[in-house]
Amino acid sequence: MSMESIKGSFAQKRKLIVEETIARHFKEDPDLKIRYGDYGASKYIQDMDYHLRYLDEAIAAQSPVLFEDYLSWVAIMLTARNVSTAELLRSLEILASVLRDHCPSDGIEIALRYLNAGIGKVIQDCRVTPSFLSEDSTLARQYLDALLQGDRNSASRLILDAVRDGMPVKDIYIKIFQESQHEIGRLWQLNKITVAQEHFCTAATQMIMSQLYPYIFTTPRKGLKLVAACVTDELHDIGIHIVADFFEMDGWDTTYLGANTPTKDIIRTIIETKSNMVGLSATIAYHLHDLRHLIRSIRADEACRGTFIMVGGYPFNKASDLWRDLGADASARDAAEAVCKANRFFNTRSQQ
Amino acid sequence: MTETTQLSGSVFRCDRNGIIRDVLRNDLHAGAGDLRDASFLSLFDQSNIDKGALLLQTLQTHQAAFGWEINLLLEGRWTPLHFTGFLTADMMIIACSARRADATSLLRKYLHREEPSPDGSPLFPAAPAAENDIDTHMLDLLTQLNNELTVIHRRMAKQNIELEHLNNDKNALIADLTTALAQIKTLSGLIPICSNCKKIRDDRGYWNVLEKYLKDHSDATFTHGICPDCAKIFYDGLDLQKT
Repeated sequence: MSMESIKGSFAQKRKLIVEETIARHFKEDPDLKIRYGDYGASKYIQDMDYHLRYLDEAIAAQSPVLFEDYLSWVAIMLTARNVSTAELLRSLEILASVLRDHCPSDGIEIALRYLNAGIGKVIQDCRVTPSFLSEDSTLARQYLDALLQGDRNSASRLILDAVRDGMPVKDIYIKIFQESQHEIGRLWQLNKITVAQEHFCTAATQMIMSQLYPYIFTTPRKGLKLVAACVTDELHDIGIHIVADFFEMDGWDTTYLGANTPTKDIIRTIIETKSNMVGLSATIAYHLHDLRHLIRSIRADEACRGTFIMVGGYPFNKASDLWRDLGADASARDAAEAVCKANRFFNTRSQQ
Repeated sequence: MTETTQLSGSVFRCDRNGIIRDVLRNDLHAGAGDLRDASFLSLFDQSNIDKGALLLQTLQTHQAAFGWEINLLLEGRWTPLHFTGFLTADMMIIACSARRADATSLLRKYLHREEPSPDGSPLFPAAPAAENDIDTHMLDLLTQLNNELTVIHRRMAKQNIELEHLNNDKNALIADLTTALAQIKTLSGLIPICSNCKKIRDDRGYWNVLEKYLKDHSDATFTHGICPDCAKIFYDGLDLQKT
């Protein structure tokens, strides 16, 4: 049985597995249901659904580390919301017993192996990620503080003043925007900020990035074209935005399609713009399936023949060979590496 | 009457070392005298203190403990109570009641901050961010909208800068053409000319010979020849066409 078909059989029963796992847990511990209340119970359902999606995707990608990393993140996130690690571990044990009852016998061993690896990771090594802002990143701290206070004008002024004082735009992208976005994610995980603050900070950063466009769209063209996008349903698009702007600053003519782009739109844009390369981003691991499908669709389209496909995002930084399994030509850890790898590829191609 | 007042039990806020910092309620009259700053273990007699200590240890290691049954001496009678507790960033909230479900309900009341602490201060120094009332789906939709606006904004900004470049090129071309145009001298309008001698009157009223006028008002220069009719008049007898 292939990994993808195990995943398929999982997906069909996900709702059933989620409901039965939670029902068993509440039956075993009625106090838990009282303590969680209606809101907590709805979150529990949502979380259990996420656990299964991540487990599905890790199995399909043959990458246990994706699930282990996710569960470590979840354990810390839940602890910050008054759900103990002991409760999480018990719910995962119950999930394992439900999977035994409902999954095909030839797939269950793999699923349990991945699940147990995740449980082991939570038990052994579940540490709070240290701040992404280094001691000397005063400007990033000031920027983040302004955003968390809802003061986007001050945040914007800090950035524009820094550019006028000579700070390179690329440094602002990496040392301010990227690091503060990572820190915002960490603060949400630790329940220090609300999801509304997270969304506000992201929207404000997008707006402030746009104020730097006059510095970005001025590089002479080098004759190469890029389409940059996130797969369907993926809303985390600041990373790929940074990548697109780095290529633009390097002289590429870029078309940025942003978050949640349907497959047909990406393919149509590659063809219309006659792009040499497409950069695709996925942050949430359970979007990898969509990314795999997208890459296959690009490869299958005759008009996209020869398009260089580079992927990036959190899962690729955790599982180093994942890009190869998905059928991409390369992956990069950050925007600078993406530009470097792309230039190297096209320089080599032009010499052949 | 609220649900809380129907519930009967005791709730303590302790630090991580098990020292009671607040008696949030004590319907059961557990313990003797003022319990503030006393050890949580002082509630128990010698035969139950080990189990009380294990409860604290479990809270410290697992962050939560539910449904622990421990006997407590209440008004001179041994009473089996259910203990339930939770560890936050640096505090433990421990509730006990004769009924297991009541202990859990009391804990939930204080965990969810439906009940304030006696001095009105927050029960938890690191209060969880209140997301209960936030419609996360709506936030996702707003983010999606913002993302689409970002894409459009970037595209427009890029096209705007390209248009600016084209506009600059166009303005430079116009400037070049204007300069060139200024150098081109043209004749236009009504030109007063003598019907006999063909002199032309200029703007200042002077009569100029035709050659001078045209030379002054255009880039034309003259080279002189003679037409056949004039040749006949002035050089009659000479065959100028042959020479």
